[in-house]
Amino acid sequence: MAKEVFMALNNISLSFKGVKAITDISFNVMKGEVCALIGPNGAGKSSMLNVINGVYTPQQGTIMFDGVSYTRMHPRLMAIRGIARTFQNIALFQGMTVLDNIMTGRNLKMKSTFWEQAIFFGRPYFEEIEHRHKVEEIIEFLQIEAIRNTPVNKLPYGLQKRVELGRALAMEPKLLLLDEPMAGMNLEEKKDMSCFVGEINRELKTTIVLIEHDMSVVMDISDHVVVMDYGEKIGDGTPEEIRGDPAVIEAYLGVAHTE
Amino acid sequence: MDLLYFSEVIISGLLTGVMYSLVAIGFVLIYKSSGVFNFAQGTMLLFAGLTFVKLTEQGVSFWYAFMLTMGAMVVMGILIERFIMRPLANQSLLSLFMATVGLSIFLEGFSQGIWDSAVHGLKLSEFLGEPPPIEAACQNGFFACVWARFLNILAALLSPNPIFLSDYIPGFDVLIGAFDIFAAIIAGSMIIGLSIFFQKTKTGMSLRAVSDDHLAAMAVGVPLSRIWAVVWAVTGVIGLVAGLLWADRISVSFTLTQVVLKGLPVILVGGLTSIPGAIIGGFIIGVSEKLGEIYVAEWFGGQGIENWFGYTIALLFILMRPAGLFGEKEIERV
Repeated sequence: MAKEVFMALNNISLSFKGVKAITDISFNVMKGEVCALIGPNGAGKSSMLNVINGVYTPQQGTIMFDGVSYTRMHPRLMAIRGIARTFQNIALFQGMTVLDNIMTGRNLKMKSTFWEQAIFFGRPYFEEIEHRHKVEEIIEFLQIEAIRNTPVNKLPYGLQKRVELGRALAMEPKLLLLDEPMAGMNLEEKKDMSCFVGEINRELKTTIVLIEHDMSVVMDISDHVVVMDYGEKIGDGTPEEIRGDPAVIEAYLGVAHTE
Repeated sequence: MDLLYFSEVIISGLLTGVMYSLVAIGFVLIYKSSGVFNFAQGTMLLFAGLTFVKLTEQGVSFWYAFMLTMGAMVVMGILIERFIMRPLANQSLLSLFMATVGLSIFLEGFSQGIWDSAVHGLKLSEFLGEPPPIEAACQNGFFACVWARFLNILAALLSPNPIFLSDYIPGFDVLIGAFDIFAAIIAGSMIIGLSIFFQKTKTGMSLRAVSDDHLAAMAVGVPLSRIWAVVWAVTGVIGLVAGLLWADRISVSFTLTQVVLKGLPVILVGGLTSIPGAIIGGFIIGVSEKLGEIYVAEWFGGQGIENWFGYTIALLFILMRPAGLFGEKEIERV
């Protein structure tokens, strides 16, 4: 498969009031791959994701995404450009049902104007049907039909994570950022989640960048692994290369991992 | 206890309650979207009322004055978003709250500066004029007949005279203020319209998304600043409607800013984050005020407890349910 660089991070540095979170990191994400960001707690992985998503603006460096280069990003702009994400601590809309939560992911696809909605006639009505259809597809894909009308704050943790993935999918993103999608899950839930991630990548051809601590999962589902430690990149390669990299083993894999 | 009199008290309490709900919804919308208690709500009412009254005093007709004032309130909402909300995004809540205090002081000075600070009487019935006689109109076909009947009902509702319900329901010998019914119908339909809008449409869904989680809302592409502008503009329009309905009773003057204080016990009871809460809370406060005035006041040496009884009820509710009946436990701004 001919590979094409989909996103290139160039010399990204980020600090908070003098505390360095990310120091001069560069790496590429190829189109259609699953790229895993790994590293010990506090290595700057989530900060990296927040930079890509536009929540944080790095002091230095540029991001090339889908052919356009950026120095400043904004979450909404990146959403428009085709980046969807999930959060480390679930950030669902707690008061809404599963269906409504996933429906919010369709926000950018809805074209009706404020005034059309005010009279709720014509376009908003047909749009609603069309988007509802898409949302049902996602619900079916994630096997959460039974809970579609449940308010999300009533759901167990594992299912909430799944709903959050659903909301990101509803945006039909080109790039999906998953911040610890399997954290706090039991073995079975993890298996389900990695199946979903794999299927999204294969079937929808979505490029995925994810942060994960469980090494067996990472080695299993990713095509490309970037290792971070103390805000610096210490490894970058295929899972096999990473597994054999002495620097990585010393910093990370060598230490017994406890969740 | 006289059952008929009791139901009269209840009905008038419910009708007043709808008015309270409308004012309370203004607070709820702002709080949900911006996470701040809007101190300027009262002056927004005054600004709307004053603008409307001064326009009509210049000879502008009712609907033109109404549309112009509505336009002014929408522009104000957009300006508030641009010059207050946006620069203060992600600042501490206290800064934002102080900004609404500042806005309140500014609006008060501004509205009395461009207009004046005199007391202006406002009677909505004057805009309607004398309704056509029904019999004459019914000679001119069906629609003219229906229209004339409608205008007559409207005139009856706008008049200061009370309505005897026994005229409509035999034996139900209850007296209700006509204008109370009119105000409740207007406020009620506005509340229903807003509820449907914020429940069913994309903008409504975005508002709920923003109120739950700013960051996640932005990540799914919700335009935060546009939602803010919409909500502040809608609140301005609510202020206009509520302002006109209240002004008919107490005229347009600085006192109008105090009306929103009636919304406070309502949101304490119903919860700051819930539109249904504001509706139910309005009923509870409206009814308990009236009941208090009639049945409890004698223990407190006479009349006038209506003005503070609602707060006492709110206090009791807070002790039992700190977040209000329908409120969320806590809201955190990102």
